[in-house]
Amino acid sequence: MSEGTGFRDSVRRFIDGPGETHMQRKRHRMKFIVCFGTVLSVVMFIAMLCIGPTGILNPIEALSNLISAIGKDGSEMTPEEVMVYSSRMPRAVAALAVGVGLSVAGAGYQAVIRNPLVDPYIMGVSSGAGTLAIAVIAFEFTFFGLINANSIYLIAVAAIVGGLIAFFLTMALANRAGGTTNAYVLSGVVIGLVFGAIQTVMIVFSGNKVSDVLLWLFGSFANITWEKAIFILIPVIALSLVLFRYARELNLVLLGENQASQMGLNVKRFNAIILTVASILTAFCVAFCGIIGFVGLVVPHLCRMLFGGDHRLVLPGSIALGGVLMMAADLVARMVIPGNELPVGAITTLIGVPVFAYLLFIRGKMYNG
Amino acid sequence: MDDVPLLEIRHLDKIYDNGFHADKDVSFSIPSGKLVGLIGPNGCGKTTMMRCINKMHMLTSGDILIDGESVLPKTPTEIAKLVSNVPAEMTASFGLTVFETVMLGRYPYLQNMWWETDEDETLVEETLKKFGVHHLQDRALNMLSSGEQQRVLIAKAYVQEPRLMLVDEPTSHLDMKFKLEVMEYLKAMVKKDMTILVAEHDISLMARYCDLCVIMKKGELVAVGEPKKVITSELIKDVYGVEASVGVDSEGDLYVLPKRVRIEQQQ
Repeated sequence: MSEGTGFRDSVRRFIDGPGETHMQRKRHRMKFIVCFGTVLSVVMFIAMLCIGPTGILNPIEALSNLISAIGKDGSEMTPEEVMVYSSRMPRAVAALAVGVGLSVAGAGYQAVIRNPLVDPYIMGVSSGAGTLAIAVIAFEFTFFGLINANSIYLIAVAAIVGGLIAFFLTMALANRAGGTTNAYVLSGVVIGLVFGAIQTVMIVFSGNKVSDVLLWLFGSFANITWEKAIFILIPVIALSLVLFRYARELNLVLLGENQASQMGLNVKRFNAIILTVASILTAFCVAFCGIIGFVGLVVPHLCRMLFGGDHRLVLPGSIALGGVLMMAADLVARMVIPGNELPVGAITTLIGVPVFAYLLFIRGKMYNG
Repeated sequence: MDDVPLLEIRHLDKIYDNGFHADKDVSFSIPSGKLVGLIGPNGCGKTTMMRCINKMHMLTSGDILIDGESVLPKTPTEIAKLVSNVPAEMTASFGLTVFETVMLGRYPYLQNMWWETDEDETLVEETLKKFGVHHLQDRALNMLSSGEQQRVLIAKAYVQEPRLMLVDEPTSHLDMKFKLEVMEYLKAMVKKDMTILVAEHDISLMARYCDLCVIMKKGELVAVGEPKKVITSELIKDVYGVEASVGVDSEGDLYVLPKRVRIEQQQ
């Protein structure tokens, strides 16, 4: 397909393999994604266990501490075992899960709405989640006493409920406005603005809680425990698999609603399923870690540029790259200024932009028209 | 088998929710292996009828039969294997390539498979060659010229292996050369077991290429038959309200030259 001997062509040949036909090349790309994604994720995961502000271990130490901690079943651990098993590992799991979840949700949203600017927060999920989370953080909202004020799940539940309220309001408005893709985008913007305004008012009156509020809004993996990590991981795996199952249909809707439905797809129902699943996925991702931008927008595009527009490759690619990018960003966020954690969302943007700009520069023409 | 028409429309009525009566008691049938032109002014019910045929719209009353079987109880996937559709224009998002676009035509056939088979790929490759777009297969659809895009869309509908292909105004935004090209490709594609129904405004083009013409006006069927028999200046006057001279050129091809129309001016 491509001639020449430049760096780009060798990368291309490496990803595509020696296959002659399109399907052989696609299958090779799939193998590449699975192998490379697994290796990169494992390497980054181990790095997350090794490196932290409380000390740097070599991989063997980290893994042996991890294994001995698991053997002790969490009791009477040495400080190093606590650091690796109880602090760094859940954090790595959470970063991996959120990276995967936001990327897969972003890919789903972009395909259904057929707009490259769409990110997982387009349907108002982040604003709704933020609004109720602030209500909890700054005003001790406890769902009218339903949830214990000291529960670790309080903010998470508030964020999920708030995100889903905003999402369903957006869907209701969009469906009343004709259910077109533009209606989805505009309704999401409007609902997002409403919740954004409520947030602004609440922040002004939040007094000395304002820094806690901002910390949540900027997104962070500090204070992640095993319970929280599992609470994110399981729904992310389940919902990502649901989206993955619809990869072929996501390709089909790229041709537009009319074409997709004359090929036998119930487009309205399909759109509703994908948007709902992606929104629940997003709500779980922001539940404990706050609003982390950029990953959900950029990772699907990175995958399209690297592996082509076929969602049978974009979705696995997003799983592979999303987790790795998020873990890398968290590593930088906790290491770059000793004793201070930076908001991970800022780091995802700073790491992602140069890579994205480079790819846009060489492959951006495909977005024309 | 031969005496069962490929497409039979029986007393088709379609009234939209807003009360607009788009198709009024339309009945006709078409044999297999024909290129059929669907002619009529804007709003005469052509597109509505096409959408009823592939069940994009539900008809109000009547029946549509393909190979003697009603389409009404069929599932969308079953219909997608019988009827394919070429839109007037289409954009594919996110740089979908020509190959991928055409390959999507195989979607109705791979319900339980993750990847398309080698046979699917061979079919797509051959079709791309047949439509002269094989060299463009790795280009994004959006980067092609209008004429090339149209050929890709027809190729996609072709690999769907339908019995009936519906083509809606394929040449509306194409220049003279591309118009003829598209019609040549359609003509070359018609085979024993496939009929193509083309809605198109250029009557001369239809008369030159189509085996049969279906002519509609205000939701009603006006005439069905061979172009040379049904297209007359009286018919054009009746259907379009336009005075036209209809003639035959030195090669024996029918042409329609629109001459005059009365315009209404309001005080």
